[in-house]
Amino acid sequence: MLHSLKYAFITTVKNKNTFVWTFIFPIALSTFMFLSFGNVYKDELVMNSIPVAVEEGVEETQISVQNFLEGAKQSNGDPYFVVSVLSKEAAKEALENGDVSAIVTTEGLTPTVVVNGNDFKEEIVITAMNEYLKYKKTIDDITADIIKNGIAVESGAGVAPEEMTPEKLAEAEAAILAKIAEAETDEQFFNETSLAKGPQNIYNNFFYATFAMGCLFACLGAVNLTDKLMPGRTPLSGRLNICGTSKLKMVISQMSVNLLVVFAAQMGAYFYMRLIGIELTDDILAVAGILLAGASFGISLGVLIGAIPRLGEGAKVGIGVGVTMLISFLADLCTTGIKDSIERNMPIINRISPAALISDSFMTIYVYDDYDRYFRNLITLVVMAVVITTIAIFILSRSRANKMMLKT
Amino acid sequence: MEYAVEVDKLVKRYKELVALDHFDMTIREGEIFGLLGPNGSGKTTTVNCILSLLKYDKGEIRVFGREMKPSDYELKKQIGVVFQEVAVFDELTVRENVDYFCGLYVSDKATRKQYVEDAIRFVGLENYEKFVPGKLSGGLLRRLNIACGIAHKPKLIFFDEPTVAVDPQSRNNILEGIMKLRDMGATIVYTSHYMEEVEQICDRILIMDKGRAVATGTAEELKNMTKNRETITLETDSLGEEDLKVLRELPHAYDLKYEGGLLSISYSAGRNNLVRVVNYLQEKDIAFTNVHSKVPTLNDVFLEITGKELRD
Ligand SMILES: Nc1ncnc2c1ncn2[C@@H]1O[C@H](COP(=O)(O)OP(=O)(O)O)[C@@H](O)[C@H]1O
Ligand SMILES: [Mg+2]
Repeated sequence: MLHSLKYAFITTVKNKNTFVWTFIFPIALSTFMFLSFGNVYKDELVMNSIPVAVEEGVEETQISVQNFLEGAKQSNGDPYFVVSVLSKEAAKEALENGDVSAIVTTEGLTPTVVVNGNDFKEEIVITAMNEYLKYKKTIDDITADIIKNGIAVESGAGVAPEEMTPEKLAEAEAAILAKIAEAETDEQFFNETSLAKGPQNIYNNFFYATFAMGCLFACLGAVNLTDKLMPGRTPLSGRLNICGTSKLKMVISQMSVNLLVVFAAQMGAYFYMRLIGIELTDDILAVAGILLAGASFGISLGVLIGAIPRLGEGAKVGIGVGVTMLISFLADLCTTGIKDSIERNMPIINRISPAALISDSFMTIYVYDDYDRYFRNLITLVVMAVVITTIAIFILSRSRANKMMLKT
Repeated sequence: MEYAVEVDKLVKRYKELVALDHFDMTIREGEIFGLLGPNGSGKTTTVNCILSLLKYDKGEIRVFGREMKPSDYELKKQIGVVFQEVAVFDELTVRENVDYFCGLYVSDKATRKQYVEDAIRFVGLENYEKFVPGKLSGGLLRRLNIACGIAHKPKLIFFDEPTVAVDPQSRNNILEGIMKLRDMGATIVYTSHYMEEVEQICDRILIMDKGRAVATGTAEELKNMTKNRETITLETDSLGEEDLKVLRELPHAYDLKYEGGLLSISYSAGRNNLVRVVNYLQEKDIAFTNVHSKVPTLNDVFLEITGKELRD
């Protein structure tokens, strides 16, 4: 095993083109992005308040949303949003005319956001409403807690469960809502949320996306290496296929070296981004965890694609690029809006889509501070990588070629 | 009798083309077995099927009595292959290449070191250990290719046309090496379209054509399969009908041609055929030059069985 590892390492490092590109590519990409919108990091950006329409609907929801949005203040004290409460039709018209950037519908207890475009104003409304949902969930949890256990409400009157009456419950809820609303309407709440950093934070998504893409594109190198292990590809693959070492060993050692190189390149890119002034999380261990898990996934994907029988290397690389682009697209790495729409319609995809998991993991540590979710994301990635690799090795160790790709 | 390789009614198609057509072959332990056939006759296909690199449509293959499968790594450990094309890592030096491939079979470090040195010495690349393949000439590359295939001291070694496009010196070096490996106990499968080589080093030979085994045996046995034992040719201008009649009646002669001053007589057996011809011409005081006596070659065997020349 050590022997295989050693030579996998030597051949990888000596293969200068691939090796150098693995390192240069993420750095070039982040430099490019930084030059494109790096100015948001330099200026303390203050923007005009964003007009938002809140649709008339369930009154409770409507007021709650309105309070929430109006309470959001920028660092100079200006509000983030100008809220107008409109009828359904008027709101629709306002959005179409461009009078408002977004509509928040309040037909049920859970508000939804409708936007017309995807520049950073819409992004901010969406981010704010995501925060709202989190905040509402906190309230719901507390309420549920009250119903279950009974608590001492702020007024001081202790209420035991058996003494709970509908009136007292309503009173307690009102007290808590008032308390939370009070807390949230001052800047303190927003200072703790992603909104506090304004547009910077939205642009950070792009940098997180470069990591996610870097991890996924590692599959191309793995496609290449695995293709070389398929019988019939080259004289060298013939020799590797008749040798007395199992495919399991060969694949694992090759993947380990590949993982090490990709991981080093991605970490390099991380330090580089911080060096040029992009504000990323400084929890290096957490970043390393994401990049390791992400790169494992990307590489295992490449190994599986490389192990597809009967396809030439070009076709496999094509599939690798296609799959990577699709995954990236679904996770909003290239555009915005798709991920949200998936979240609303088929959230399961976002729970297993590797690119979404990678960029979400960055958000969990940088924005949400939610380590349960962080570990859940990482474990999902690693489990998927192990399953994919197992399938690939199963195929590899049984495959024979239909024909040799050699000149005879 | 222990068989190293048994191939039974092997059929391999590439789309419409039937590359192997119910091909049979048995190789005994300890022999150099020659697979002789023109280009495209299916030698490489046979070897790749035996090695389980290629799928085949029908038939059975056993190596040392076991069915050969891609995942039978124990069996694979006993096999070495020298492919027709050079199969080494361009990024590694000569020594690293040999060490790498040897290490895929031999995990004990000390043993491996010894084996690698043996292999490098065996092919005479001691002075090139630190070279990368790109810096080696064609002949030296072939030798490296051999070292990579045999360094783990396998019991069964396949050589697929190892001498094609190799200078005469390297070629002799390779042929001698193969005989030495046999003498050290290995079983060798040697494919070639050069009959001289096959005749020179192989203990037994299988002649193949269009994916079929057309004849098997030692070189002697194969030659005995043809009617022709000897052909005598000479040049003379002054033969008459009378002379030709006498010559045609000589013992063992079965065919005679006389055209443009060139006489050619085929014999089905016998010694002293040449002496009888020469004696007769001397008796009649007929002048002649350029006398040749030709015994049959494998090419003649091939020609007689398939109706075409072995060479390209
Ligand atoms: N990859 C391939 N695709 C299609 N036909 C092939 C392929 N490889 C070999 N063949 C055909 O199979 C036949 C046998 O080829 P091969 O085994 O290479 O012969 P040899 O090694 O004796 O020269 C030839 O007719 C050749 O054209
Ligand atoms: Mg061949």
